[in-house]
Amino acid sequence: MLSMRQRLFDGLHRRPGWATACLLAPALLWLVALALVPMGVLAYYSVLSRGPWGTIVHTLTLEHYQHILDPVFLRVLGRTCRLALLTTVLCLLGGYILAYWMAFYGGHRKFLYSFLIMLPFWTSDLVRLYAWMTLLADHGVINNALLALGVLQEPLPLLYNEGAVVLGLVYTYLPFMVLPLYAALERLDRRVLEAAADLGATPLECLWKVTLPLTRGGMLSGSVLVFVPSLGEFLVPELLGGAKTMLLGKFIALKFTGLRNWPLGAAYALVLVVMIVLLLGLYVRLVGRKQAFEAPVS
Amino acid sequence: MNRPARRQLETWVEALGEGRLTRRTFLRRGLALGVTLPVLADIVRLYTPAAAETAPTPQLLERIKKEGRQLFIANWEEYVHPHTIPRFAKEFGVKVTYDTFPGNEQLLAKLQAGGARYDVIFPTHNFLPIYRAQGLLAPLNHEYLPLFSNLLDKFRQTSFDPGNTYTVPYSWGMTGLAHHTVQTRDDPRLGSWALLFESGPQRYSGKLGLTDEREEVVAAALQFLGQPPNTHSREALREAGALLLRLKPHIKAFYPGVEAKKALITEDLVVAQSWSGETVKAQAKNPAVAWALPREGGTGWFDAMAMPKVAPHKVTAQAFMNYMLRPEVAAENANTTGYATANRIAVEKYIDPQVAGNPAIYPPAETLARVTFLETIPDDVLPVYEDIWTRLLGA
Repeated sequence: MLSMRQRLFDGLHRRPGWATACLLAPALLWLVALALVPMGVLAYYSVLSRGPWGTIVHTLTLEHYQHILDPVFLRVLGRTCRLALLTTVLCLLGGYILAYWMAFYGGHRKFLYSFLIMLPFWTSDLVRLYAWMTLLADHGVINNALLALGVLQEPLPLLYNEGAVVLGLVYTYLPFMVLPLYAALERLDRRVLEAAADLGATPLECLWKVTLPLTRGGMLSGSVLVFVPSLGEFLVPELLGGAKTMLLGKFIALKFTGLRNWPLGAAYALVLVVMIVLLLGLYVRLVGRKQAFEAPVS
Repeated sequence: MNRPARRQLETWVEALGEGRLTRRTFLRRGLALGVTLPVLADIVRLYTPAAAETAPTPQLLERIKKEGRQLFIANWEEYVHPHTIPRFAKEFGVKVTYDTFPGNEQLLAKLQAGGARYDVIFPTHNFLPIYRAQGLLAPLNHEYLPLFSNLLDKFRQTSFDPGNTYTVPYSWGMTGLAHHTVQTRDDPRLGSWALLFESGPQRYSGKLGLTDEREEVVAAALQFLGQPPNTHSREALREAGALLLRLKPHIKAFYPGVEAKKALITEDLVVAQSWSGETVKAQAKNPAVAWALPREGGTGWFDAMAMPKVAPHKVTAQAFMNYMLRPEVAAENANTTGYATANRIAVEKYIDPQVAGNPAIYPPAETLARVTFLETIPDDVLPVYEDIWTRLLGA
């Protein structure tokens, strides 16, 4: 009689589909339970009606989607896209320089540098953003220092404006840009650069014609990792934004908690989800299916 | 002090000790006699009769034990004396989990969503009808609340919870205008909402703040326009919304109450719509901060303790409410939070004389006459408010 184990092994061997299913199960379960089901609930709420006092009535309607054309929403959406794009560009510029320096001049301290990039994740971003508030306030650390030194006569309005929000976003998401860029630059075959130099390319030409094109994948995945969460960011505009920089994430939260309008909040949230899915689709098209799913960092 | 005056004072001290004289009357008479306030305060501390025995009965402790000796509280930030909760935990042998919430809407959203399992919450009076209409609260068993009679009459039997079936009023305050006295010196708009809404000799642009409670912000605009803050007139509300939109470029931020206090202390804000108690606390740190109820009127509110229907520890919750009704506890809270307690005995006997004499906490009658208590926004008017608020915050 075959042992149980043997039979199981044979079974796995004969039907590879079963083994694959076993291996996929945790990821699938995660995807279904934590992404698809909540999304389905969100979609369902977005077609329900708002009842008295902000309750939910289970009568189906599409009226909330009419509010997508509400000028206030469009304005918030436009502002969000603009600031998320600005954040991505700034992260890309700063991140590329940082990652380049780490990969090419980091020497034996490379590990230490990548560790330092990740270090802020050890503290809650709420705490770190509060720290920025104390730094940037009208009578915060920076302004007080500049006033004491006589550089300024009046405090600069550093907090509660778009500049503060972009600063907060760049600060929060820079590591997500640096790490894929660093990985891409690290994997870059140095012999290719030597060959380019041998063939007479100036260092600038080397960068422009060899290094940048070869690290395009890292730039794209870094940009996605920065742009997508920036679109939905709630904490940064809440803490650093003040009265004039309402972003989409905060706007959706306002509909849910501040205005007791869950269906409309759900509809707006779904618009954001659809936008992000379309963006990711574009990303896959740009880098190619194989690269996007198998080697996202090079 | 001459002999007859001293003898007179002694009679009053005796009367105070026997409870024939209230603390407040004693202070007033003593001051009239020319005795200084610190001396009087010391006498009061020494001679006020000790609180009636209010320790929990063994039966109550037994029930609390059966419930698992736990209590989940959701309260506003900085809204109790730092000792209040630890002392309750110690005396009743209960492990207290204490959460804070920034605003009424957030608390209501949490309870509507159904996930929050709080035992005691502190909603504001105008939200009580919403909680009641949705059946979110559990009725109270007044047998657990023998100290309920300590409350001032005007906070019992209000229209927001007739018969106090669901709530025990906690404390009350006003929403008016805080300003920085040095930077607004000689400003002709002082004492009026115009300090926010109109440009005078100085606009203080970028140094103006509003609360983030929608009803209060709209009410301020309505009051400046000479409209009653509880109006349902679409015309008036539209006008108020337009006024707020014009004000918006000058606004720094919409502050949850405690945040405004911090910005007032550091002088990041020069003029701010603010809750009375926050300014009282700000003043303690920065004497240049002042508060006034604008001449066009301000809004008033009271917060109450309530027990959600889903509360897992209902006996413990009511034991806690009764503990909060003890005059010493209520007075201790009122002395530190900057808000007036709804507890009559606490006001009469235990309040710090300096707190009792602060017009921002216990306003004189002519100020009180300008206070309008906000009513619940009816459901058919709510979309108008939603529209105003969305435009104001989104723009």
